[in-house]
Amino acid sequence: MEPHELLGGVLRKFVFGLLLVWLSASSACAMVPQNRRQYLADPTMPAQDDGLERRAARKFHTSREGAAGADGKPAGGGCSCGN
Amino acid sequence: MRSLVSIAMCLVACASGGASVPPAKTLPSVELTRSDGRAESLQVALAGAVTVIDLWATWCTACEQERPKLERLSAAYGAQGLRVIGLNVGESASVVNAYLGENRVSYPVYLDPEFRLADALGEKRLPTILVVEPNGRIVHRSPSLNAETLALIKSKLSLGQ
Amino acid sequence: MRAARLLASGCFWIAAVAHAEPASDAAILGQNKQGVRVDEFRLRMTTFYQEGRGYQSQAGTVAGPGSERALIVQPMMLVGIRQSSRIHHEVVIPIDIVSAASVNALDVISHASAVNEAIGVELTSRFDLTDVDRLTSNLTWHEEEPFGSGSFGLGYSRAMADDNATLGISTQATFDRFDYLQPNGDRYGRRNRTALNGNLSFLQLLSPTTVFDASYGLTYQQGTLETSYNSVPMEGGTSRSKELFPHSRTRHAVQARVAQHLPQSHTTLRAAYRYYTDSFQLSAHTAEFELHQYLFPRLLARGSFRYYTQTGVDFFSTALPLQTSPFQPRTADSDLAEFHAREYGLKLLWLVRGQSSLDISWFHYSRDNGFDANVISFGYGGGL
Repeated sequence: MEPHELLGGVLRKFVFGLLLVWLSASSACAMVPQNRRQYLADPTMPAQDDGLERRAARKFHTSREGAAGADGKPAGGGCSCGN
Repeated sequence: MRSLVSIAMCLVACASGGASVPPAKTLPSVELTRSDGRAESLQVALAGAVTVIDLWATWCTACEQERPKLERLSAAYGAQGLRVIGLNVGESASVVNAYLGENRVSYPVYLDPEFRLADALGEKRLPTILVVEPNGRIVHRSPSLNAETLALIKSKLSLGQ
Repeated sequence: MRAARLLASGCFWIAAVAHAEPASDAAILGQNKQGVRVDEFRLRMTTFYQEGRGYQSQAGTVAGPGSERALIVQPMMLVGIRQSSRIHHEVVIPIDIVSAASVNALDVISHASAVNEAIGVELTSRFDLTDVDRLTSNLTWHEEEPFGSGSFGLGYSRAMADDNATLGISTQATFDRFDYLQPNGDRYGRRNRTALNGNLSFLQLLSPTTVFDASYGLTYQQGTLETSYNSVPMEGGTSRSKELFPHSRTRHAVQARVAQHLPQSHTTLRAAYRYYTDSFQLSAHTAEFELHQYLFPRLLARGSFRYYTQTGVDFFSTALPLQTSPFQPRTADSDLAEFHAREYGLKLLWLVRGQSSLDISWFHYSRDNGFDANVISFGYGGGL
């Protein structure tokens, strides 16, 4: 498959999948008021993740595996490895 | 293409949010518990004084930044009749008292663990600063103690309200 | 008489204090204390010890795999700087110290040093344009022997539905330049490569205890993509050829994550899945699971498991046919072979005070093509 065909196919499927998940999850437009987010502010939830720890793990994995990306960080380059 | 447009319209409608309770104009008549365990009607506790009510929670980092300002406000204008009250929203007495044990708060703290007062006020954001006249009328709401809020408080105190 | 004078002066001072002007507005609002300040500080020390055997390494026989043993020490520091209520900066300084020569064929062929160091600086800035719109910028510089890299990125995110959903888009450009070393140690000038990356992300609060996020990343790389001092054993076992990659690479990755907090048991469950594919015909699946459990109000334990599988690039070979064209892509890099990997981890975190924490963690990573690593990490810091 040519890269542009790959792009069209994968991206299109991702966007539709995302819309389906959002619609099914938001079927009642579930709204969490800002004053009821105490559990979302818990240290175990993603908003409180330790950036340095996640960074070290990401660097380990991208240096020793072929896959990278989809985590908001650049995938490719930045090291003298096969990434 | 049509399905994309209809999905997009659903998303916009969803993202625009649901219906919200209009904010109350006077302090609702509810009985609350203070952090020291005493039950008290908030309206009775406020009678005769211009009051600043701080809606807060222990997990709210922005609330933590407001607390020192409210302490200084209470120290500066308490003698002129201003009352400062903290209203903890959505947390149990044990959680609040553990926090108060580590963080000195000189003004009284009330508990609203079931969100009764917060919902009756129509307030869903933290922190929220309310300025209340002695008759219970809410004259100002803001997300922080800022220059505008402070100017209004001073004007209410100087008018003897 | 003297007592009366003392009493009078005492009353005077009491009256003076009682009628003193209240603190100024600026003092009450804390405006005289505002300005640039540090609001976050973190330190982390991570140690990686790995063992493996990869055909790209010359630390072995001509036809066979070479040792990939290495000890990597990685101290890192993060400083958060609040410039104003709407502008925040984050500076990260990572340092890598790689010892044991065999992981880096550069040392095997040149014996230049038994220790390689790398250092970088990353500056991420956030600008809150409005209550719902945020702009981010990212600048990175990285330097190691014999490689240097710089990147620049921009991002935009919008919060919707009273912060219940966030949509984000970002892009980053990375420029690498490096000495073009050959497997025999010769240096043929310098080469470079670029990577352009775009990301779409979406986050949704599903309930007061559930968060979902998904993202898509697209990367296009161009230039000298191979690790020039890596080599590929030739058929017959008597010679090696240098590694060669195609001149460009297009990479796609999609990821979905969910986090669920269980208040009754003070537990959080997290799961993530990522699918990856690229123009080298490498496809990969990643599944991750975490269980966070409060042991005490200020002590957390985390158990984690990660499973990864990849197909390998279509030009991977551990015995290249002798008649292969010198321009045909080839690699024996064990990181790009077909393999499955499992990772198990444990972490203890102590919430010291306020937003500060102290933690220790360990994970064991194992690939079925003979690579193993143990990673131990210590961290301290948090909000100030």
